[in-house]
Amino acid sequence: MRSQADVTGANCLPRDRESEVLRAANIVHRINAQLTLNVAEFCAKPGEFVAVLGPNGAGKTTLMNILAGGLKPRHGSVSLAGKNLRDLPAPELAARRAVVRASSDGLATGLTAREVIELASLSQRISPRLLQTLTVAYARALDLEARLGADFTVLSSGEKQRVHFARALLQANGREPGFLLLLDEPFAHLDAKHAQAVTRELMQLRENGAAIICILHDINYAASYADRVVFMKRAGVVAELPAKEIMNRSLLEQIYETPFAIMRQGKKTYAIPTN
Amino acid sequence: MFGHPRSFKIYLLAALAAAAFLLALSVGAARDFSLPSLFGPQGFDRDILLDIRLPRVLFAFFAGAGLALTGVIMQCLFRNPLAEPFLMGTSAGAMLFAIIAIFAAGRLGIHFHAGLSGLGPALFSFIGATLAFSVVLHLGRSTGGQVQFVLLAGIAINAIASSASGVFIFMANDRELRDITFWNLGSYGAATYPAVALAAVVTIAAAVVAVVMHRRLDALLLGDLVAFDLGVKVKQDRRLLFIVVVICQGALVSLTGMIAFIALVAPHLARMAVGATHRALLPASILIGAAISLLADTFARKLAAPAEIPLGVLTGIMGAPFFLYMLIRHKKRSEA
Amino acid sequence: MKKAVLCLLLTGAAFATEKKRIVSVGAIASELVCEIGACGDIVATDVTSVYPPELLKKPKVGYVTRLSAEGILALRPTHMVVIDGAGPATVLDQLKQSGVKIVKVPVGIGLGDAAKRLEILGEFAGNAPAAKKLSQKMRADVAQLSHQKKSKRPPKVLFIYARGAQTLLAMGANTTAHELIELAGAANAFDAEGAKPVNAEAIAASQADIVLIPEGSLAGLGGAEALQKIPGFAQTPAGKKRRLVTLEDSLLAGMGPRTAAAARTLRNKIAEAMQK
Repeated sequence: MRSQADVTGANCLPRDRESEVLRAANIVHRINAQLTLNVAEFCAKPGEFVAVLGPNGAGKTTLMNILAGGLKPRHGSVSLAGKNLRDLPAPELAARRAVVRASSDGLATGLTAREVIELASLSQRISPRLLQTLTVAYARALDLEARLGADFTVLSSGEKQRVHFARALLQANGREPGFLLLLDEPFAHLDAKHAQAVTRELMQLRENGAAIICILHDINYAASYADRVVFMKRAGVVAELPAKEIMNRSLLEQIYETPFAIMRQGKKTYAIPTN
Repeated sequence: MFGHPRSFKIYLLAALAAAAFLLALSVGAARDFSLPSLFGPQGFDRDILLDIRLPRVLFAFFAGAGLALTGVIMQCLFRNPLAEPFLMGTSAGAMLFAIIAIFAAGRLGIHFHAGLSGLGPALFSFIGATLAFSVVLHLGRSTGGQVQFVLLAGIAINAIASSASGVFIFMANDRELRDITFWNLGSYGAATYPAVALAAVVTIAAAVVAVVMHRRLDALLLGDLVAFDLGVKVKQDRRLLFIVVVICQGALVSLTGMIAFIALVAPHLARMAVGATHRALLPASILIGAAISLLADTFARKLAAPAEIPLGVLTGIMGAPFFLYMLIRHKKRSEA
Repeated sequence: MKKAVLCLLLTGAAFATEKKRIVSVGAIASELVCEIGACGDIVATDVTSVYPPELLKKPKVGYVTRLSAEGILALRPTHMVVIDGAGPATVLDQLKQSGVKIVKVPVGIGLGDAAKRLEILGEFAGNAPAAKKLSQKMRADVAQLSHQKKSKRPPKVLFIYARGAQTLLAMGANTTAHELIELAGAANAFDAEGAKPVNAEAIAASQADIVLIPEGSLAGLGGAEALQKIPGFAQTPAGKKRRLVTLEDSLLAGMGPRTAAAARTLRNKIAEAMQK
């Protein structure tokens, strides 16, 4: 269970190795001729929602691919629940973490939305009946129930994203404590209603003890829902704060290189880019 | 979900394949049998049935099943409905070596059929198939292993093998030209019991691998990244699947020559019938491929008796219109 | 000539009393089976057996190297006469196992193979001694011809075979046509191996004194006038002097008992043409 006291200012606590979900250390990876990713440490604890923000091209997706285990960094190591990723083959990784990527490949798969969601069963030993029940439940929560029988390729990008999200939720089902969910701009194609539905599920996951690392562009969303925010710029971590401290105009203007206005509306604070 | 309607369809397809099998067994150039007379034949009938027709029909079954299977796997590996084993260079390699064997027999007097239960020429052809495929795979891997590079490597090897074949064709005399043409059109004429055993072994082995991996095949449809996220050992599994395809398809094409369309069309028909998840798609494709193969071969043996129409002609006649229909439907879908 | 073969072999036919059902595979095999008088016993042939014309009416079992076991067995043959290279080998094995007697006939164009063919078929017809005599006579005839002195400058003969209107083939060394030309005392104007497609330049370069063409090809091309119009032809002495000699189509299948006589006829025809 998450509580206010658990959130700290430092990225990784040295002695918390057992309760950590994710620990990455000394990550160095060449992205292209100009950029080399350099992250000294990155951690996530159970029940923690870490938002990763930053301008385009900051290396956020590359970092996420490394944390997901799909990309091997030049230097450094990543551990999931104490086990080095190098020692975890794909099936075991899938049992401990789920990934929802930014864009769908748009392939001519022929699978239905339901069948895509049910692919979570590759890493889940559950009965076909339970699989079916959970699929419908998650689909309903994400307003996908009517589209379950549709061919995945004809879905809108928002629907595809929700399908993948449902699939990730299914992967996490039954083992939320210590499970890691990695999301790359999950709200990119979602309207307000569906973004709320996804947020509800994320909050539920967090409540059940999962760790969430989410790449976002919406500063205000991060401030409202995340526990901790990591700012990346030019392939490195430039700031790392508790979520409620990010509404700092000079910090934001420095990171995004564009003017901001900070406004208060009752109890809520908003950061809005201005001209 | 794999509920009642889908299982029922698979049983229906199995019945269809069984019916095609019995039809193929009953009909032929020598005589047509009625169903009861298939059991307990005597004398000449027995010779025809057991020595000639049964191995032929068994071979047609396994060849059709095997080709359809390799088609399904290829369409999964390339995530493309138009993929078929030909893309990997196996057919071009097999053809080139088959042509070399034809030349060696005629001009150098090197005959392969003397040993190896008559499978000599086929095994030589198979060497060509695996050689071409290994080059394709190696080229593809050295450029990153992504699907499009493997595809390009396949195109390149096909072109090279075709040109080399072209040189031989230029030098060929009448008889050699005919032999090469017939190879290109395909036939089950080589169906002796040893050939049946070989076809059965490679097809069953491929089927076992594919069926065991069926969930992972589903995951691979979503792309390598997502498949990895879901827990598929992408590199190893793709490699295993490629090997399975080359062994199965390489062996079959070495024995039969080029048989058009079964590998392409059977998976599509199966997909239309039972959907894209491999749990249903695999058995459906195998059964449909076997049925098409048996029917086409029956026509091949009967229509021009006592001569035989090359099988590829018939699978082409049966497959091409369907292929056109698929293209049109695909076009309409993408416009909608 | 043919009558001689028939008579010689049929004298022994009394010994071959079993009613044969023969499937013959290969042009030369079919022709020879007919030559020994067993044409009526042929129940089917392959697609290349087009001579004598009565074979065209017989059912076809496919191409020489692509035979169908069941198709052949359906005809219940007792014997098969096949040329070397007929197949697939597995089909022949299956047929052998079913009790069909298979007789193999060599296909070479040379004298040795021709003689072997005669002997094999003689045995098949049940009259080996007669066949042996015939083949010996053939060898002697041909030997006599080869030993005839060749003139210092033998006329250059270009042999053209037309396969369809588009493709013209010229016969070089190692073809029946070449052997015939040599036996007739002339020289082959086409300097190459085997049958090769020719274009206008090649024809002109041959500078042939005479063009030799099978009757069937000439008819297919549209007669002597059509031949004159072929590019390259007009640039040769043969074209300029209109020296055209024809030959019976069937003489091209390979050497046989008729070869020596044909060579003599050819020699005369060539001499006649050279008068122009």
